[in-house]
Amino acid sequence: MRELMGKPEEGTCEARLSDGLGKVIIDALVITLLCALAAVVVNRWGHPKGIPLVAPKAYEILVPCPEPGGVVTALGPGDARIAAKDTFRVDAREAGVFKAWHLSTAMNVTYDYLDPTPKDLIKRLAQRAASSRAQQVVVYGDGEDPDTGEQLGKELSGHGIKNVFFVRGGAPALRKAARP
Amino acid sequence: MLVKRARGLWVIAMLSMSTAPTAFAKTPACKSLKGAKGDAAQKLLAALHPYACCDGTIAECLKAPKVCRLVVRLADNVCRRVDKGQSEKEIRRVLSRRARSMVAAGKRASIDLKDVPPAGDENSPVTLVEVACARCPFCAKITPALHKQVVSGRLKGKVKLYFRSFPIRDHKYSKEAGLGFVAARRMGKFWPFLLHAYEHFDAFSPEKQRPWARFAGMDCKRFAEVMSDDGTRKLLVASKKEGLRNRVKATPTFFIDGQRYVGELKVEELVDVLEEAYERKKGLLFR
Repeated sequence: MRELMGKPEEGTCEARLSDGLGKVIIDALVITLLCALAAVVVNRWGHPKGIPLVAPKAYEILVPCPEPGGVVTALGPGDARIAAKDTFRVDAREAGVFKAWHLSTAMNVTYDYLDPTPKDLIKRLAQRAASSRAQQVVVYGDGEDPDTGEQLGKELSGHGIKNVFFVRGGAPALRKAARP
Repeated sequence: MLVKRARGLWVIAMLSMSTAPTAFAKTPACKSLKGAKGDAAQKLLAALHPYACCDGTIAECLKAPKVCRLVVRLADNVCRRVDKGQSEKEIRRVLSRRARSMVAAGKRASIDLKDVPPAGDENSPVTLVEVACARCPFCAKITPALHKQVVSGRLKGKVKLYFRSFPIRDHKYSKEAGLGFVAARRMGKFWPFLLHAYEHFDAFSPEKQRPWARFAGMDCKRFAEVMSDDGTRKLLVASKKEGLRNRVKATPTFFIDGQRYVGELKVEELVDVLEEAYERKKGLLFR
């Protein structure tokens, strides 16, 4: 019967424990209510400005939006690392000028100032660089200010590709340096 | 015991009142500071130096017979910050960045403002250039607020505001929205379009730009044509490249008369700094 009703017999330990727990819960509720009431009263009359109970406008954190990209190091057009065997070369210029002239084995990834480079293209570049066992990636661009090579280098570095360099002066500087 | 304590407090209160510099009277924000905040402000003003027009500390400069407006401005700034509960370290950092922005040093940015419509009176002596992305949430908040200031607020007749697009490549639709801004500029409705687009920032989609163009007073068919025109794209790329040349790394970035502003990016602070730039340019730094 006791099991069915779930009510302990009077005077037993269980009954006293049950009564005690009930009192504790009631006390806790009363204290919570009193504290809340005190907080409201202090906020209303004790606080110089009073914190609004409902925020007048949505909370927002505004921070400047950064242009994404990582760190790249500049190389002079005569730097030995550009022609090194363990270098993966990337040409950031448009396909037309790339066809007309480019460094041997260079991969063409045209940099666009408005659209991000497709992720699958960057992935393909990273895979090719890894399979060629390259120790560094050297990017060269149009050599203007700003230089597409530097910008693409930053983008590649921002995507986690390590040891990315760009050629100062880009393709025009490379061609000039190659001339006897 | 209690009487002794009360007497002690009374003495402290009287002392703090008597040591409160008369210079505080010249600065509204400082004048209203009392107690611990007043003491903190006083301590800071006695330690900080203005970056122009007076060699002493701000407190000393405030006591000078001829007070420089910049000193009053800086004192007000410090007191407002103390009142807001900012720490001494934070206040020092903010003022140092402000000084870096206002003391002309280094190369000035080269910004092509030909065919770029200003907001505010174009004869205003101070030029503020904002480099921003059409899809940057921060820019969407700060640009309309600044526009209001230069058109009808405290900066009216003092500052003209120019906007240069710098699409952040990672922002979704930054290119489309940027092209919309340039197209509106080419059609002579730049500011009405920008303000409407920023007002409805969260509702943006490339398709919505057409009705927004109509709202801004443009023929939406013509707007779409101009938007897809190669010349519009070239102008947007040129604007982005100009930003990169000027070492813009985030949006919004501001240039005051070609000088990069590296101070706090809050409208209140920008207005204060721009008023200072105006006074400096007009030779009004001394009262």
